[in-house]
This record gives sequence, structure tokens and C-alpha cells, in this order.
Amino acid sequence: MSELSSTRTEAGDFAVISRTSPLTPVLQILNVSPGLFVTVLIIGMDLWIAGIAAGLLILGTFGYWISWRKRTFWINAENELEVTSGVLFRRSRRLRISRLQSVDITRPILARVSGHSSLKVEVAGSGDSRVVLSYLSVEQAKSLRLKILNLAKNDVALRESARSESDAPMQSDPELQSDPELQWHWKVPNSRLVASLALTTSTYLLIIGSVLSVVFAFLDPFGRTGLLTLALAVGGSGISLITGITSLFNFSIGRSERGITISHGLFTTANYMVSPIRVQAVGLIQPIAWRPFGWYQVAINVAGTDQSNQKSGPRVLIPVIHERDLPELFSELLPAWNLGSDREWTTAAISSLWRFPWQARRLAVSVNPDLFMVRSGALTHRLGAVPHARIQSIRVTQGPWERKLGISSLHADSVPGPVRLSGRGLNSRVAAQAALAELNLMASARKLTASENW
Amino acid sequence: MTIAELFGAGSTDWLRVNEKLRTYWHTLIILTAVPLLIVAAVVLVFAWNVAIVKLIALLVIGGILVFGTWSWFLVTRRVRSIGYRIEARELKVSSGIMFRRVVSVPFARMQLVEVSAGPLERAFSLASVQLHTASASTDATIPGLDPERAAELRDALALHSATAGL
Repeated sequence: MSELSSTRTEAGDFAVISRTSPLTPVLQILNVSPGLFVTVLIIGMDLWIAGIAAGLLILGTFGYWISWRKRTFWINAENELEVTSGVLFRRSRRLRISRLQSVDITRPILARVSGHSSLKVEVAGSGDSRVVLSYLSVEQAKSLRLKILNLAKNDVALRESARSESDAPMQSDPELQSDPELQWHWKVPNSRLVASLALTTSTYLLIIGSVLSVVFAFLDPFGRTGLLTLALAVGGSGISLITGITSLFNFSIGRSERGITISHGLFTTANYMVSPIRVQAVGLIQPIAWRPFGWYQVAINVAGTDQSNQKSGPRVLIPVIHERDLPELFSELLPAWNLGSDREWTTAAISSLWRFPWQARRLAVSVNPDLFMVRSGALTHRLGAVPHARIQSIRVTQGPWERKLGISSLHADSVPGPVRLSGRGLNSRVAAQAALAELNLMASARKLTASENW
Repeated sequence: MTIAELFGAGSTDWLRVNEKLRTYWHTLIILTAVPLLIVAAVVLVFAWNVAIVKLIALLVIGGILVFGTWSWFLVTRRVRSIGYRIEARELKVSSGIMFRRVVSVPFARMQLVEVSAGPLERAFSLASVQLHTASASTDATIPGLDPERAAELRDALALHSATAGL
């Protein structure tokens, strides 16, 4: 492609065919080389192996370089992001910006050090609906993201004006040329984040492991079982603690005119922009050790995220927040979700104690005019909520043991995510009535929110 | 509305699937069990002298026979437990004997209606209709339909979801 103007396009203009940053192949090979290095160390260093490794590195760099040469992107006249790639088999993908779901910047550690970013663009639709551009320079990624966001916004405005048949010309909003101002924002103190993560499940694992190791040490004073158990417990909980801290470090959340912005991460930073319409279900989670502090975690199910990849979309709205701040968080970010007000709960049947001995007293559902809510959990308290119009389907299930007890479970299916809405242990008749009531509420709620997709 | 009605037991206005599904599921059980039995038998013959392998092989054979017989006799009830009903706003599918479930999918939430027929299903001239929503846990599948009935159902559901609006 000789007509290629330049790899570094002028900021803001992506109407010409461009490539990702020329440093891309170097960063890609640096990403894989630690693995190769460790493999070489494991096999053992000798001249042959070092030679093979060096050869692989050179071949790999060349391969990455070719695939970088062959990968181009631009925004075509029909407002599609067109990405062409492939060496032997050319592949061209077009993402309609009018169907944009999200455009996120992620910055893995190597990219961050060298001043690069990855840009992930996701549009509505199943299958081939997302593309990751790695790596772009920071300014390029920022301006491409803005360009895409503006195009998507203009498109929505255009459709709305077409609908109201007003022929006022589209004004290009000067404000849109810069990153949107945050109208409200919130930071999670890192000290509280570390403390809260230290008080979660991994702590129970650590305690159980320590107790077990003491028991083993008594039973087998000269063996190594006790030490091994302790090492496993410490290692396991330590790893999960460190992963949690590094991924959620510097957690900040804000609201701009385009939606909710979430960013977090120590080594790999993640940035998300979520329109409140895409939030399909909300959950409040409180492990037992958080109760004295009044802390909660707010989890969300977001529509249009790739279910096979946990990292594709945000799962946590805020990792830890004091209960007194919850009303402010919800009124700023999700004003339609009023979780705080008193609800009438339909509690589980007494007989469900035989099926759910620990949590039977907590189990309950609540069918309200605005939300369907579920409460559960003995050690870790969980509260889930979903607006009627965003429920995908309603299920009632009953296993053989539940049938003996005359109880059933009522599930409200939401898009994939951390929040599950299953009301368990309900009297079967109550579950059936609640299911029917819920189906009616869903139908009337869908009529009210007919304009939004799901 | 009682729980029995919700689960579709005994009510006549739930649509039933084709009884051929029994033969299909019986064939499926044979086609799964027999190759496993042959493998286990071969292992048993060749490792007759190794006590632990012999024991495992015998256990596997016993397990296959027990589980196969168990599922064989449950097939009829399982087929009869499947019912579906097209209502004003949603499709309801009920199934299961041990673990019963009713799923109700509003037409407005259907994203995709899929008709599928594997090679063995085609041999019995059967097809399945599966409904997809934005949720992965919806799981509304109706097996054992005549291909024409499956196509009719697909078209009816597509029409319903188009007219239900969004």
C-alpha cells in the first residue's frame, strides 16, 4: 500500500489509512520474550538452545513486523472503523460506529513505559463485533477514541433529529473536541482497598490453612505436611490478594456527559466508559469481615461485554465503599436504581432450612414497582437488583430434594456478569405467584422503556 | 395458578413434542454406552492379571450398565415432561422430571431463534428449536420437533418478536 500517507496521522483525522505505532512489533516481541527466557532457563542454558531461542526471537520479530505492515485501519465515509489485517489471508472488518458499545483504552506495563496504549472498540452485535488496536501512541489512541465517541454521539443526535423531523443543521460541539469534563468523581483510598481485600475469602483460606497446619503438625510432628499446608494457604491467599490489589489499585470512578467512567490498575491500567443504559443488574456484596466497618462492594452486569473474557468489561462499579456513601454513589451514577429504600421482602419458606441451613433466614425476594430484588448469603451478604425491563427471562426450577420440602427457586436471568438473581427456598406456590407477577411487571415496564434496546 | 400448572404437569393446553424423541434418545443411549462398554471390555481382557485395572474396568462396566438402564427407563417420562406454550407475550418451556424447570421468555427479549438438527436427529426426522436472549442462562430449548413444526415455530416466534417491538 504505497498511497499510505504516514503512520503518524494528524491527531483527530483518521479518514486516511493508517497503521498502528511502528514500535508495535518490538513491544509484541518483548511481551512474549520473558516466557521464552524462562523456558530457556528451565531447559538449561547451552549454545544450541541459546541459538534456537535467538533464532525464534528474530523470526518472531520479523513475523510481527510483517503483520504490523499488513494491518491498517481507517474510518471510512460510511462512518465505519475498517480494520484490514492478515499476511496470507487478508481479512477486513468493518465496525459500524453508530452501533458503538464501548471504546476503552488499556495500557499494559510495557506499553505504558514506552508511551503507548491499546484501544479496544466494541460494537453491538454477536460474533465479530470487537477489535483491539495495539499499539497506538498515547495521543493517537486518545484522539481516535474521541473521534469515535463524537461520531457515535453525532449519529445518535442525527437519528433523533430525523425522528423529530427538524432540519436544523448539526452543530459540531466545540466541547466535544476535548476529553469530557467529569461532573462528579470518586476515588477509593488505596489503604481501604488493601484492607478490604485482605478481609475477603482469601483470609478465610489463610485461617483454615493455618489451623489445619497446626493440626497436622500435632498429628505428624516430624513430617512436612503441616509446613506444606501452611505454605499452600499462604501462597494461595497471597496470590489472590496481590492480583486483586494490583488490578483494582487507584480505583476511580466518575460521571461525564457520556456516561460512567471507571479506571483502575497498578501495572495494567483499565479505562471503561459505560453508559448507564448498559448497566443491566447491580449487586451489593458484603463479606462477613466487612460488616463491622460497614463496607460494601458494588458489582454490575454490563450489556454487550464479551462473556468469555472477564477483562473485556467492568464487573465492579466500586470495589469498596462505606454504606453512608452508597446513596450518593447511586444518586450520581445510577439515579434510577433506588436500592436503599425499604422494601417488602418475601422470605423463604421455613422448610428451606433443610436445604439451605445457613442462609435460609437471609433468603428473600422482593417484587417492587421498579426493581426485582434478591437477598442471600449467610457469611457473605448479597443483594441483587434488576429493573423489570432488563430481565431477559424468568425461570422457576425445582430439584427432587426441594420438591420434598415444597420449595422452588425463582431466577431472573440477566446478561452475563457477577450478579446472579436467584431467589431460592421460596414456597412453591409463592414462587409461582411471584413469577407471574414479575412477568406482568416486565411487560408493562417494557412498554415504558420501549425506546431502549435492552 | 398452582405450581403443578406452572410446571406443566397434567395440563392439556401445553404443546407436546414428538414421541419419536424417545427412540432417538434410546438410540443415543445405546450409541454412547456400547462403545464405552467395548473399550472397558477390551481393557478388562488385556489387563485381567492386574488387579487394580480389573477392578476399575469392572466398576466402569457396572456404572455404565446401571446408569444406562436408569436413563433408558426414564426416557419416556422425560419426553412427556417436555412441554411448551406460546402465550400472548412470552414463550414458556417446561421440562425435567428430577430437576424440573419452567422458563418464560418474553418475545421482546428474544435475540435469535435457532433450528438445529444433527445427523442422527435428521435420521429420525427430528429438529430442535433453541431460543437465545442476551442472557447466557436462559436455556430454552425444545427438542424432538418435526422439521416442519420446528420451522413453523421458528417463523411464529420471529414474527412475535418482531411485532412485540423492543
